[in-house]
Amino acid sequence: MSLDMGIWVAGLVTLAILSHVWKENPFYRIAEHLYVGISAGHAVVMAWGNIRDTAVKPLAEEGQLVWIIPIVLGVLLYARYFKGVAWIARFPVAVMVGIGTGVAVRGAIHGDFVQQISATISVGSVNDILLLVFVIASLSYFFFSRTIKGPVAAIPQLGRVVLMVAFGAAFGTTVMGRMALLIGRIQFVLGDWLGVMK
Amino acid sequence: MKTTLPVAIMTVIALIIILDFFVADAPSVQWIKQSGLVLRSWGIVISAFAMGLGAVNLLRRHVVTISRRESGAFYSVLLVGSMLIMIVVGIGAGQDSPVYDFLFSNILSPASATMYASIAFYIVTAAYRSFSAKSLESWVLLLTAVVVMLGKAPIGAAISGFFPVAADWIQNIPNTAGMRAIMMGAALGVVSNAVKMFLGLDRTYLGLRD
Repeated sequence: MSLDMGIWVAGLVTLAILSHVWKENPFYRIAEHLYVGISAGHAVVMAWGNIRDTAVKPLAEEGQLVWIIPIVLGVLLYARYFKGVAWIARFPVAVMVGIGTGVAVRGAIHGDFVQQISATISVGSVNDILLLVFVIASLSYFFFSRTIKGPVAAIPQLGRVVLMVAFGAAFGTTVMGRMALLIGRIQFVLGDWLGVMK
Repeated sequence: MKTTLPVAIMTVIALIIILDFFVADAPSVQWIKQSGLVLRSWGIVISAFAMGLGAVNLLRRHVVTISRRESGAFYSVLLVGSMLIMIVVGIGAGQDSPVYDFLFSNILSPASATMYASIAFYIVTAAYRSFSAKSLESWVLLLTAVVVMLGKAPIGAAISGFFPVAADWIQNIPNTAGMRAIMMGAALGVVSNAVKMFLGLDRTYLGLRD
């Protein structure tokens, strides 16, 4: 059994969280609230690190006055706590949403659309041909503008089956990923902490 | 001004960032490239302030619970206390300090891994309740999940060499095809939603309902 205080704390936190599988209990709630508090604190520290390194240092050490703008916009986010001027917070939100939308749209057009089509139509093997057929079939399943009838109706039906295979694979991968984490935690409790397993 | 100007600002910024990616690398359009770069770094700073906003909201919510001595006030004390310790130590002494490292390595990391691990139980019980193999599609989903799980576990390879090979093929061909189709559909959705926002038809991000 380990004599390290850190391992004891980590082991107790692990057991407390796993105990929720049985039912809601005070030990789980203690671990849960500590987890949320420490996560939020860590996020604030990381955020402060971003502000300091990206804006405050260039402003203070190199005199780059342009960084005053995002700092002021960031501070304006807190205007929402003051009733009369709460609307001012819309400006930094608009800037953030604009940046987010721009990045998302260019990623969607280039990465999720053009590059995916490009990768799909570059056929070099039987598997590539199957991939092309499956992608077309899956896309045809999302075609709702007109009811597809006759022999071609088999294409969206195939697409439906392909999508089910994709969902099944995603489910299997998710379960196995979580199982790997669970095995890791059990190994930690029985091995590193209690020392009953090598 | 309170509504139209933010929509206009959002549209101009989004268009600059989109153009920045698609315009050629010519000197005449360098200002777009530069503006896109500057705006994206501004985004990091403003998002960091927004993170602080979330922390303030969390603190307000739990400080109210503590001050009113509502049920669960003890847990709120733990939350607020651990959060403040992390912030004070992290900003004051740095992330390399022993206290910060202790809390991060012995509470945050194991709690995070265990939270994700415990989801395994809920996924399996949810699947047991909802997977009813009554049609071809549900059979396909069920069999694929079983083959992929066996293919990724040592027991699958011990039973038959078929499982790892089949799992790999399923992952690489039909799974890629299905996910690719979903990704393309989602990309079109992202673009159409952006157009709605540019036209001022979707202003929910400003806290407006219509």
